[in-house]
Amino acid sequence: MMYYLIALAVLMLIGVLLRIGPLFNLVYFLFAVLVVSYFWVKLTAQKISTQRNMLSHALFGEKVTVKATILNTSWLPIPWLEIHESLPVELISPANYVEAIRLDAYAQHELRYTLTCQKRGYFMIGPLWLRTGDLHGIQSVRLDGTPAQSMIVYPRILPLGALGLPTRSPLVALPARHPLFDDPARVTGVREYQSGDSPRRIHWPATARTRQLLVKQYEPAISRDTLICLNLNRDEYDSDYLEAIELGIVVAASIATHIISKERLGVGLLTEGRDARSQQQTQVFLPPRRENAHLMSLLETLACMQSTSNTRPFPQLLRQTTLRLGWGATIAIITSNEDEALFDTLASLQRSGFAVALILIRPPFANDQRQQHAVRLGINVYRVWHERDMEKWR
Amino acid sequence: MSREAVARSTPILSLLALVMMIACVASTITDALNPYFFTGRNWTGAYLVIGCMLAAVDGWRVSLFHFTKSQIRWLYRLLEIGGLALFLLLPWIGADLSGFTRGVQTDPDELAALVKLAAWTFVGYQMIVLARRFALTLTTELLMINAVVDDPSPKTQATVSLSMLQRRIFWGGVVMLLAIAIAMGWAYLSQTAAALNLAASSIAIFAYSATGLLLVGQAQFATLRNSWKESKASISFGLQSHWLRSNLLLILLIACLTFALPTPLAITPNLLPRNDFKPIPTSGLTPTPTLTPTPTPPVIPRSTSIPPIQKPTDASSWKSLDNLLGLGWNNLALLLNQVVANTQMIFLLVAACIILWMLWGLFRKRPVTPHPIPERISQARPASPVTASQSGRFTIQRASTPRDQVHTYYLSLLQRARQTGLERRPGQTPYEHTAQLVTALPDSHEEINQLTQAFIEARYSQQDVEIEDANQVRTLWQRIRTTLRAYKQKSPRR
Repeated sequence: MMYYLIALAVLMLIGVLLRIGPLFNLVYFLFAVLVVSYFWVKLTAQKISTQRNMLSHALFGEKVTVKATILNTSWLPIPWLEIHESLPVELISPANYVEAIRLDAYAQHELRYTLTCQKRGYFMIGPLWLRTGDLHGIQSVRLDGTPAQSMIVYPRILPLGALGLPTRSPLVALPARHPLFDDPARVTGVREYQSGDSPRRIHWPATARTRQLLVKQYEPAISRDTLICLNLNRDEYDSDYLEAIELGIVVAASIATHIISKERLGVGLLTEGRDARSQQQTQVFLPPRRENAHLMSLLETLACMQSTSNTRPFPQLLRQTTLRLGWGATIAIITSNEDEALFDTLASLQRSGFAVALILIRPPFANDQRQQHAVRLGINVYRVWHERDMEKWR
Repeated sequence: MSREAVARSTPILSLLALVMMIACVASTITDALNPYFFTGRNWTGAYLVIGCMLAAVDGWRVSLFHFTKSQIRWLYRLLEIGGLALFLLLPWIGADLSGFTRGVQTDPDELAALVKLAAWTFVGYQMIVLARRFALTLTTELLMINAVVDDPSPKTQATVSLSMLQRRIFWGGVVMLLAIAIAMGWAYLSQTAAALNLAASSIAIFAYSATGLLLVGQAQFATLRNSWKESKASISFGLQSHWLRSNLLLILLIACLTFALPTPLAITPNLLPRNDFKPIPTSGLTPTPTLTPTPTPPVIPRSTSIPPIQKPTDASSWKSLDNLLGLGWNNLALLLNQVVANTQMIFLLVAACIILWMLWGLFRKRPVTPHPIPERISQARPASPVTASQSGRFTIQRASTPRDQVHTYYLSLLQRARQTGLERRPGQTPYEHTAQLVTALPDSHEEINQLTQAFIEARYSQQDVEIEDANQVRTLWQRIRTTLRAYKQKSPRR
């Protein structure tokens, strides 16, 4: 625009010096075009508003339609408007949406596109920005429209029950060998009072009838919660760690969904990786609970976690975190490599009263010695190379 | 873009230039009504018209050259012959401009007259050549732009640079305008007949600049369209025609408005000495009643040279300088008169603009929603376009959505069922009423169930209702309506 003004000034100067009247008219004309273009663009650019309507969460495989509305609240029409919407390439191709339109006065334009959620993750939709200008290329402005919005695509969930698995998950059906807790709701009988018994356990009607102190005997209770421990350290996977970790996340999401929605039992999550929401390496520990809201939170966490490296060794993470777990809980460990350190940790957990299940995702090779070691420890080991391997999981 | 589309677009650009030239001719004829009209004035305007027409014809010729169909070759040859004849006429034009052909050349100095003849011939030639080159460049480049759009191969992309085109258009226009300005200024200062042709020249410059801006606007669209094509953007239907229409309207409006503004030199013609013309006899011409004849300017002998510009030395120096610029206090009254006259013209032009704007509003495509939408579009329910007339019939307004159409068909079902005797009781849910209808109309139970289900989804869910769904519901409703008619005929008491 500055060059345009300089050219006008030169023309005006020539007109003054040479006394050429038509040049004045020409300068008027070009200056009027300049002014009209400038204020037209300025007035209309301030009156453009945008809005995007979309779901913030989507299931795997779902098709989500995103609608964005561009509204011209000015009394001036907009001769041309270029709409840019940046999109994640994992959900749509090409990875942007570009449209050139015109907008009349007080008119609105709605653009819509469909995202195919074929990959779990945390994705940013947008930002949406606009570009408009005048008809002669004198001025062009870029406008920031709706900022980017996040969309979480939950990991794929395989229906375990439909695939022939037992109704009760094998991970929670393991017997408790050392009962430490009693269930006060289930009384099995009475016995004589012993020193140290809590007065709350005294069975007063029986004591009155027999005239000796009798205390109630309860059925032993174990914790039926399950903790899913997912290893996201890519150093402990093979070269195709991306696919292996994705498969591990699918397994974890399927187990959690099955246990909460079908068995109505509590499930927790332990993992350490890079959270796509905060873009930081974080350790996630979700205590076992069995509400549906907790399941959605767990799936959301699984959707946002990414693999990482240079974390603490997975066995060490297991030892430190399972201290907060109730006795008798089931620990489902999802990892790839079965080394000595891992088996030592599993044995330790087994001795501590936890039921342990080891799920190996694409293990490098089958080691007979390790398999025998696991059998001796009483640890259920499952090997998953593909999603169809879960059909044999019984 | 197809070749036929290119063939259509390029003559359109040339035709626009021709429209401008027609305006130039009209202006020249208007000038001819002046009783103090100078003989050569309309001729000069005609020359400018011919020159500009040639520029337009050149653009047309290029398009014909690219699309040499046998049916139009004869036109191409005819235009070539016309252009050659115009060039042969250039010396005569120069003679006319220098006063030889009209007998107004009274200067005994033949050498000076011959110099003027040569100068005007040269200036006319240069102007025509510039116009030809300008038009050729524009049309050729526009054709190449179309070729790029048609074939975006790297080779073609390398050949044509759109930014280079824009620069060429801009600087070509500037150079052309500067050449015209310098030639006219030189002629003006040399006290030739060009001093009286400024009005016509002004119109010509307007024609050039308006045409140039129009072409720049279209080139801008071609640039944007090319970038949109590269980014695989979907271009709104009708954007190209809307662009051309807006461009044309905007330039015309601004040109009309700015043309009405007074110029400092236009109101001070007496400051400039002239001695090479004299008024023609006014026999046969009736002076316009509204115009007041101004006295004949004093004839200054040729030997009198232009007084040199004196440098301001006293306190009134600003006045001399102001006179030099043509804004002296002595001309203030003239300026005010001119402003008043132009104000009337401005009013007329504003009225014309309003008419044009109304025409624009009449023909432009109106948006579906003429008012701003609420802030939260997703949650705000639009007002139901379903209205009940006095007769109780539900009608669909013109801008109804598929969701509202589904509502309407269900309400029509309720209305027709009530007329048949299957009225919905207060407090009865749609499903309960459906069970009642299905019992009475077992042949249409599937249609009734589907229609009810479609209504429930359209009324209570957030899912989108597509136009296909509405069409399907309409089909269901038509079947149910037939069944209801048959049911009503079977039970006439109801």
